Amino acid sequence: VNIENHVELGILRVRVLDKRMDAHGAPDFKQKLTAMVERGNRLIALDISNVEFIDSSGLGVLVSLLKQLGGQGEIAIGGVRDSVGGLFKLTRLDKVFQIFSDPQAAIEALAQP
Amino acid sequence: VIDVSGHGVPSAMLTVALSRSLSAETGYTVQSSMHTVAKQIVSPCEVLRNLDREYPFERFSKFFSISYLVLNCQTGHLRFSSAGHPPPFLIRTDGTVRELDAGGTLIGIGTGVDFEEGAADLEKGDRIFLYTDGIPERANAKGELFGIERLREKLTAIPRAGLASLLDGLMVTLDSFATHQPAADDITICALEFTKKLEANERM
Repeated sequence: VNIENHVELGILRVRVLDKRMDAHGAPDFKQKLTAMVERGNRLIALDISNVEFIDSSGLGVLVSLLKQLGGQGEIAIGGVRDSVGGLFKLTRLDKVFQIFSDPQAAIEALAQP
Repeated sequence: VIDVSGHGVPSAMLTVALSRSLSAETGYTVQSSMHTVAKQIVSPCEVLRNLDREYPFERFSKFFSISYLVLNCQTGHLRFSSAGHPPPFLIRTDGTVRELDAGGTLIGIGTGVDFEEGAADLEKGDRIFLYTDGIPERANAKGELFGIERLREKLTAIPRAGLASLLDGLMVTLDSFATHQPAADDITICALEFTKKLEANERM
């Protein structure tokens, strides 16, 4: 999975450039995110507005990121399309992650004091 | 019905372990009581709580979805709970559909959010369909998904086909929808029909 990322105002902003987050790209995506958390990033705003499809392996990357943070950080996911949002709703992970259709809203959620 | 995240051998290994956790002899589904010889059937939400404790994500880097139902074959009383799984359909003989959607999030996430449990009473001829997301997510060449609505239409079609031919027909419909492109995900569907309710005086 190709990503762009930078840190601004203490928030790691990660933008997924691919259309799919699936089994094919999951190991690479997980490795990239794991390395960023190991470097000390704790507030992560993920922009998935390009993503049209997520499978269980793609969700697994998000869950492992959450587990790696172990309650010592926060993840907000922005740019969630309807098709992808349905998956979060079905799996009820919308109760576990903060989900926004607007990418900027995810950043603002983390910026709250 | 269970769907473990990922593909290949690691996911298959977890599925095998799970099948033991859910067997009547070695698993969580039946409990001996201190006071009687009779075994107790554990309620669906309690089974899911046990699974959530036993299979945290950290253990295998996997989570899974499940639909778990307990049916009293004599009375038709059904209890159910799901964890992050597409809700099973309950289809009555008149074609009305109910989605059995009580439950919680995927097993292994460990949010501390509890699993809800639902109940229904089946009558003769009522049908239940459990399936995995591989069916609604089957895509055609244009990337369009088969979806829940097409599945529901197929399963409620009148006149009603027998279960075996209904499912065979569904597989043909799926393949032709996907214009014979290979499925990206595995597919499971399980159908049952409640054939006979015993009157109170006939029950064991």
